[in-house]
Amino acid sequence: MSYYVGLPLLVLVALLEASVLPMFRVYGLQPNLMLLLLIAWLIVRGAGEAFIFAPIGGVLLGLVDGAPTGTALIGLAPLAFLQDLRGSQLREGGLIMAIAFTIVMSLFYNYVHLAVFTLEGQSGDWLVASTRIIVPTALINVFVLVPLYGLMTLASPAQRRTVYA
Amino acid sequence: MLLTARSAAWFASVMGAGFLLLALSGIGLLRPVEDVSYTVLSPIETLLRSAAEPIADIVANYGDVRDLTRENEALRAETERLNAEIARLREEATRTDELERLLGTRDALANQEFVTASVVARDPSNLRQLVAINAGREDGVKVGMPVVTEGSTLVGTVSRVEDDHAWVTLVTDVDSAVSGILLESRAQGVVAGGYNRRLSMEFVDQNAAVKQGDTVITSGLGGTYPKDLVIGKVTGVSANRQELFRSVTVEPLASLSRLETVLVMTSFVPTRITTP
Repeated sequence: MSYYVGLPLLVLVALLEASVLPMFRVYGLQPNLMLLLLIAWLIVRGAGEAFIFAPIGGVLLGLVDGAPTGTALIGLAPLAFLQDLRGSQLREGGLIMAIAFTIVMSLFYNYVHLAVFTLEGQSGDWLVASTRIIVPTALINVFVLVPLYGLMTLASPAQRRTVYA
Repeated sequence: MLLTARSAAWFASVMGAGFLLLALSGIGLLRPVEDVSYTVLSPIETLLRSAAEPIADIVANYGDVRDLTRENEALRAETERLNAEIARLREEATRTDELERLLGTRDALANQEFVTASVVARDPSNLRQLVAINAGREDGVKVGMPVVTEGSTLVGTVSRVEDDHAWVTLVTDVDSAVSGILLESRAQGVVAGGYNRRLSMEFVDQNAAVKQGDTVITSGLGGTYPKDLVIGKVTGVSANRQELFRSVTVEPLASLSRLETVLVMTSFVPTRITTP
C-alpha cells in the first residue's frame, strides 16, 4: 500500500521542488524537500521503503533540476548511515536524531551540488556559498522537517501505536 | 562497525549509480531520457506553478504591507518631482527625436529577432540561479544568446540547450558577468551576480559620478551582449576613497523571481574576441 502512496508522492515532491517552492523562497532560499521527506520516511517507517524511494527520488530530482543527473543521487547516499543509527536509537528520540541528521545531510547534499557545479566551471567562492546558502539552507531544512516528521508519524500506523501505547 | 553490510551495500550502490549517471550525463548520453522527462513533466510543473501563483501573491503582499506603506509615501513625493521632470523630458524628447532622425541612429534592438518562451521550471538548488524555458534547439535557441523581458530588460544568457527546452543562467547567478555602463555618468564596469541574489557593479572608476537610482545598461563591450539592454538601478555606492574602484550595488530591473515570459534574442550571435 505504502508504495502506491510513496511513489506518486516522490514525483509530486520533485515537481513541487522545481516549480512551486521557488515561488516561496525565504531570503532566496528554499528547503530540500525531497531530502527531508526521505529522512522523515526512513526514521518513521524504516529502511525497507526508504531504501527503494531514495534512489527513485534522487533520479527524479536529477530529471527536473538544472544540475547534471546523478548529483542528487550522490547527495542522498549517506541516508544509509541514518538507517543504522535509527536501528539502535529510535525509541530514545527519533525527532532529535532526525534534526541532527538533517543538518549533516543538508550540508553534505548541498556541498555535493557545489562540488559538481565547480567541476562544471562555476566560479563561486565556497566560503561565501557556505555562509550565505549552505548553512542557512540546513537551518531552513530543520524548520521544515519538524512538521513533516509529525505528519509522517501520524500517517504511520506503527508509530501511532507506539505514541498512544 | 559504522555501517551494517546491508547499509554499506546500499550506500555503495547508490554512490556508484550516482557517479555513473553523472558521467553519462556529462557526455550527453542521458539527453534522450532528459528530453522525454521534460516533455512529460514540464506541463505538470506549469500547472502547479499557475495553481500556486495566487497563494504566492498573497504571501508576498502580506510580508510587504509595511514596506508598501513607506514606499507609497515616498512614491507620492517622487510623483510630484517626476511630473515636473516629465514636462522637461517631453521637450527634450522632441528635440532628441529630431536629432536621431538627422543622425540616422536606429534603435539597437530594432533589427533583432526574438523567440518568445515561457518559464517552465527553476533550478531548485539554492546555489544556482537558473530557469528552464520552453524553447530549445528546434526553435533556433543556442548557447550564449541573451534573454530579455519587457522593456529590453536583461534576464540572463542561455547556458544549456536541449531539443525542446533550454536553461537560462540569470544575471544574478554567481557565474554571470556583464559589461555595463551607467546611463547618466557613462562610467563603465562589470555587473556580476553573487550568492546574495543581488548584482554588484565592479571596476567602476573611483572618480565616476555614481548615485542611487542611476540606470545600468549593457555596454556591448566584449561582444557577449548587445548594447543598451537595461540591467538595473543603482541601490548603493561605497564611499571608501582608499579603494581603487567604487563598489556599486545594483537591483535588477527584471522581476527575476517571478519571471513568466521571456524573449530569446536569436539573431544576436555572441562574438568571441581574441587578443591581437
